[in-house]
Amino acid sequence: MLGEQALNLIKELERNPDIIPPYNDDLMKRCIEEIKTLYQQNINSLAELNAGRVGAEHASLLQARHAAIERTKRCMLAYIYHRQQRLKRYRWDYGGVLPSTIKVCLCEAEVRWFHEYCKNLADFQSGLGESGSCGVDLTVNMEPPKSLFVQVMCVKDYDEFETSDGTRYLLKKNSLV
Amino acid sequence: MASTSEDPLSLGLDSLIDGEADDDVDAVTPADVLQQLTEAWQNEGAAPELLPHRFDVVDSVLSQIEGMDENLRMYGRNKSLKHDIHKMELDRIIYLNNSYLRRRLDKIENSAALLLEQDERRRRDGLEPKMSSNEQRYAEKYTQLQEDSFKRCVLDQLPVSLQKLELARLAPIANTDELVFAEALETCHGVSVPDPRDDGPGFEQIVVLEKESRTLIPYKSVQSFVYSGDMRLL
Repeated sequence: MLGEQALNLIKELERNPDIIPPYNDDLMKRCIEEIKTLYQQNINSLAELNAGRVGAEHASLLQARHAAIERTKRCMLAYIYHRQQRLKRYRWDYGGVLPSTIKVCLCEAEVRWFHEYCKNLADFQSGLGESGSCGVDLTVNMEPPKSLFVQVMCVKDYDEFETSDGTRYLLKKNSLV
Repeated sequence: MASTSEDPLSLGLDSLIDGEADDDVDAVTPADVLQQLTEAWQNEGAAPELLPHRFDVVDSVLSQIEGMDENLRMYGRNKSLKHDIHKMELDRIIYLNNSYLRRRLDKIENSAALLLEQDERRRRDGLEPKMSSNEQRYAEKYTQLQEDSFKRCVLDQLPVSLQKLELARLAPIANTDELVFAEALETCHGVSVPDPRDDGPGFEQIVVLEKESRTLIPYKSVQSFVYSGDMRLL
């Protein structure tokens, strides 16, 4: 059936909503072959139409094939686009280094895209701030900061206690902090 | 005993940057700048499209963050609670700033090619472009990256006449019919609203929105007022 290969590409992405599945080079190649075949058939049909060897009803065949070509092309581009979106999410959640488990699933063009994207982001971040001074890291402070302050009375000797932002408190029995 | 402590904003900011204010930003107090940043952040979050940039505010905020950070470090750890409160305030300001920039980046990434075209048109009409030069460079590079990867993976292997791709046409257009809550900061004349009585499209009523009034209204009607700063989104 026309366009079935392309549908398989999309189904694959939908089956794995969270991760990046391995790049399905095989399926992509089959889609491209399908497009080329349809395109060639269209050229032949057009030649026959112009030569008057077939009736005008063949024009709708041309249209159907062209619609299938457009659809397959759209599915392939959507496949690549959505993989890129997931990769982008990865950069924001985990930073600019790709672990080998993910790298294995990407095609070479995607790896290159990821590096260029990270570089673009880094350029943008360093361009912020007056006269490009320290720049801003946009991947930190993803949530509004919230911390509770608590007054603590120490029951036992604990010596030094370090909080998450590095402040040290000396805890001794019966002291208030 | 647990408590979430909130230092009054002006007290926190002023005590953090006492004596460090630049001479040329004396006209705008730090509290003002923060107020503008909060407004810009809120507007950017509520609007369905990219708004004109407020990088003047971002730049002042960034320089003030630097000053505050240094003061905090010099302050020392003697009064640890006050130090913690100031630090939290500083973190909040940094979060606001970062979130504003991230929201804009998200919108730019979604429709980079289209926004570049729109800005080009604005420049030709003599208007200020919506993106700052930094963001424009980012958008250009991003569009180019997308085109390259599409070409490499798909388009170059197709017959020549199928290789055309216009990213600007494919980019999602913001839905300006979306309803937003808006507050008028000044009395706004000439706000056009679709007339509910008439079924035909494009029949509009002109209303006046008084200062400090709040309405639920299609974004399209208040777009120009938000750009000029006469209205803000909630």
